[in-house]
Amino acid sequence: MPRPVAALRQWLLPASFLAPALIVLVAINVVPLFYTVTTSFEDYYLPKVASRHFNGLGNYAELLADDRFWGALGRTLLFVTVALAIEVALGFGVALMLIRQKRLVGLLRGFILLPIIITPIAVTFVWRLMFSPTLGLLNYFLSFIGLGPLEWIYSPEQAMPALILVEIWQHTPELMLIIFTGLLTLPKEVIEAAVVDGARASQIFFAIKLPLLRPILMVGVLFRTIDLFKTFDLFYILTRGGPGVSTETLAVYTYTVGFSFLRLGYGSALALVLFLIILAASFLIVRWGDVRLG
Amino acid sequence: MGLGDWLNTIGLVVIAFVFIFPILWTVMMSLKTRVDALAMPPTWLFVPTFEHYVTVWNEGSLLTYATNSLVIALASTALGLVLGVPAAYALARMEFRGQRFLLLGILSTRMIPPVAFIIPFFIIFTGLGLKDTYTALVIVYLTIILGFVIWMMRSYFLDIPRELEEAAMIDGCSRWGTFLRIILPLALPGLATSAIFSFIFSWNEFLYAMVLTARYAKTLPLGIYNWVSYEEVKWGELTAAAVMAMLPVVIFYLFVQKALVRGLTMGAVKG
Amino acid sequence: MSPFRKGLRTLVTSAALSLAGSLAATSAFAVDWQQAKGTELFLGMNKHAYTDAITPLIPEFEKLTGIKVTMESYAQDEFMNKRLVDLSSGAGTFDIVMMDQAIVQYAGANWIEPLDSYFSDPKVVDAAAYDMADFLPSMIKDGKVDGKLFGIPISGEAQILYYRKDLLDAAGVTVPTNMDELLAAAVKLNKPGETAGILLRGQKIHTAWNSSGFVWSYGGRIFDDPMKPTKATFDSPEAAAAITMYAKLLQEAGPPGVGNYTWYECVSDFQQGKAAMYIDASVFMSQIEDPSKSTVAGKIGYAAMPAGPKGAFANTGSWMLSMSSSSKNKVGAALFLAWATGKETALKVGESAGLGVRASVFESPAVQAKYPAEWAKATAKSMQSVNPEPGFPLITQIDEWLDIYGGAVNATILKQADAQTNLSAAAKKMDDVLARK
Repeated sequence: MPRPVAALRQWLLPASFLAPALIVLVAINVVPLFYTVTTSFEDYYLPKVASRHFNGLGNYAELLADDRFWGALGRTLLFVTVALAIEVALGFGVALMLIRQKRLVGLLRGFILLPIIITPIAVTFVWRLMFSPTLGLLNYFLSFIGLGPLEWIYSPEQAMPALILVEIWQHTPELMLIIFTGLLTLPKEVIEAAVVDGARASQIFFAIKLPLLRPILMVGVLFRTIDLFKTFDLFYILTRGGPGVSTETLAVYTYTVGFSFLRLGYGSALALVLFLIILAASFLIVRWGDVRLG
Repeated sequence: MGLGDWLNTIGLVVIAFVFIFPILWTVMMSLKTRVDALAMPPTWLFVPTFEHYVTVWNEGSLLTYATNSLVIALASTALGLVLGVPAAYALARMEFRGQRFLLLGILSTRMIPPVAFIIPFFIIFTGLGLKDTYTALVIVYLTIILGFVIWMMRSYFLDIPRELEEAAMIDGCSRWGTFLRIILPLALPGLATSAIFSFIFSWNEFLYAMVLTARYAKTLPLGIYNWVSYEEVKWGELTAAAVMAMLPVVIFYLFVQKALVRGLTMGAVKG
Repeated sequence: MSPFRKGLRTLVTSAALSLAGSLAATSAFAVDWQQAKGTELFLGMNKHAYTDAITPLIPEFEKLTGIKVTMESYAQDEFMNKRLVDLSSGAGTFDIVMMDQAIVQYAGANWIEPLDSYFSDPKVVDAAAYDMADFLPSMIKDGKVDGKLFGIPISGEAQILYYRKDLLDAAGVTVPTNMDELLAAAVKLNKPGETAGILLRGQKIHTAWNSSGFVWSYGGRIFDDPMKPTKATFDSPEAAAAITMYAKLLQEAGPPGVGNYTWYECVSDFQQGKAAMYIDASVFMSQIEDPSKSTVAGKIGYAAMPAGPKGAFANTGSWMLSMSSSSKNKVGAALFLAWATGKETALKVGESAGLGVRASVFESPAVQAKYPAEWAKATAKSMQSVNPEPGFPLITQIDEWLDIYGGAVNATILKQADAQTNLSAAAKKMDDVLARK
């Protein structure tokens, strides 16, 4: 068989499997993304569609000078890192307890994992009521241990911690599950050998288990980080970024600019910046965490 | 059982309770009268009332929203599988240039924040006259589902021993024939899992549905929002609608529990 | 004649005089209600007492006209979004939508239809029976943008003072009539942990409408020109004094967490007996007096908005009905508007929900008999104030105003800086927004 034909055949076969998916992926992901990029260079105010025009880097220049953007960026980073750190720590704790558990493991695991898949907005509303300073359940519970009343999402200082609380309620189980799965797959021989050598439990954990777990843990961290940056429903239903702007993250601010202020051009610029930040964060995690994907 | 085991058990029971409590509380609220629902201190023992479920069923167009959600979730899942599974197979089994780039490119679609997509989709669908249609939501849900299915199914295909298809190809089966007759049946559990996760994603989604629908394509999560009224939040009705939205998800959950970790990591971590 | 009726009579007379000229020209052709028979209309409504009240009446319209009407009602946040998505795109899903402060934006963007031509067309509206002059002037003005009618009011509201008679009596507090008395009473009635002295909305966007009434009562203005705002003036010393008072009331006698209170938290708290006084829109009466939801029904007194140094200027607001410019059934939509906002239907809505924008509704004995006289009196008194500015500024960037100005009020409540500092910074930002092309 002549070479070009062989090359074509070699190329054609994967193409026949891949083409439909790739065409659709380009149409529904790349095209809208491209549209966001072009819109981000336009002055596009929805009530005045007629005066929509190219304004170069105008939106990006405005962004650099926009205090509210920088504030939102700071809060986003705070939200992501604090929630992630707590989720990893708690996830480890619960996973280690679950590994140790001998009875009812399936049932307990089943209950703990439930928040992951439950319709988020269904329960988020109930959190809103639980946070009420006057009529809420949380302050009622706190009163038993002599604490509170707290103002929760009604106070600019406490609102972000309160949102992080809901976030870790909903997503700690994800990291717990990933760590639990990782612990199950650890090679028993290595650990047993260490026990024989007289290593302490903490030594085994930090010197052996943790490094072995790292690849799997970093996959969990990667996916959590992406989703934390994207978090929207929680903020929308509980605080809308308030009180004031105390819980306004980039995702919330972008939505407000686009669909409340109707400034689609500036909103697109903000959205792209958020996407780039997520890309950069993911890249760093993959690099630094030595994540082997695929 | 030693003391440590007991403490461990008690600790885990408490933790499990904390995690399911908001869900339990939602269910309890849906069974309370309004005065009970907002009472402080809370009422723990009460005569359950099903009136909110009746109201939600009769007045709330719940059935319409549920039908919309079902059609949209099924269609986006089906399309995701039809398009994604062959692609996943090619990425798992064939070698060609740009493979790694393609895989990472597909993964990066997961990193696009929905707020970055609503503006272009809002404008594009307006231009195409597709706003407030099933098609619109199926398309936006595919932006997430397609990449997800490709990565998930690829991990399942990688698990299948190569010898099986090599044997089939020696018997004269074409690559597509092998894929359809030999590999797909073997990957059935993976297909089911990917399908269920895709379904749950579509079913639970809120932001796109809020921005892109108005009348015909409203989904169930928006049906929950419906009970936030001008002068009050109708807690009984809201939580009753919420419970009904959660039910199918919980049922599906029972089937995919074992594969949950795989679903969360797009196949990168296997259970 | 009750003081309530007397007040309204004055209003009606002045309105009649001003509108009589424009109406004289119309002759009384019979309207053919069946002219759009067999067509369909789709209404996009906000969840509201009005929506609940008009729903059971729709079959009457369908019978009268042979038009099939479908209605969908949404929670407020969702409604704003749906309305925007549909009307801005010209998709034409909705024929008629409920309209609020966004009217200037919608009218300016040509998303809603000017209605004058329909209401002066004798084939669509029988002017004599419709009686445009019957609308309260403070209400009908909300539907006009640059002198053209874009929305027809359906439900009016005005700021009033709700108070717990039992608590005021027990504490020996008389009903406050001015701001200083209000503050003193609120502080005296405040029992931290049990009942707050006073409730006002504190959440940034929600404070905007409520605090505007305070600003006017202190002699301040939100913008330079009420009809064509070009510069923010809500940083004047008068406005700062008003916002200082608004914040002080909440800081010294409000519930914990009031900085994020919307109407929803206020009404819930008040229903559950967690506060002694509450200043907000008059429409919440039906929620607070409903024994199935409220533990304080029957214990409530009503008074008009307390006066500031320059008088009592309660803010008023109205919900309206507007026609989508993309409607494919404009004649049918106009017939619906004429029917729904006409005298007869308005009266039925008034009787069932206590909502009204027409003088004839408030004068109806049935309406007066059904609702607390004190509430009607307080509402009418609050509605009578001839405010220096519209309830919401007539600007396209209304959401940015809510955010910026409301944010300044909110920051003052939260003690992030004093009123003057917050308002000055906000006014500067607002000027930038107005200056933007």
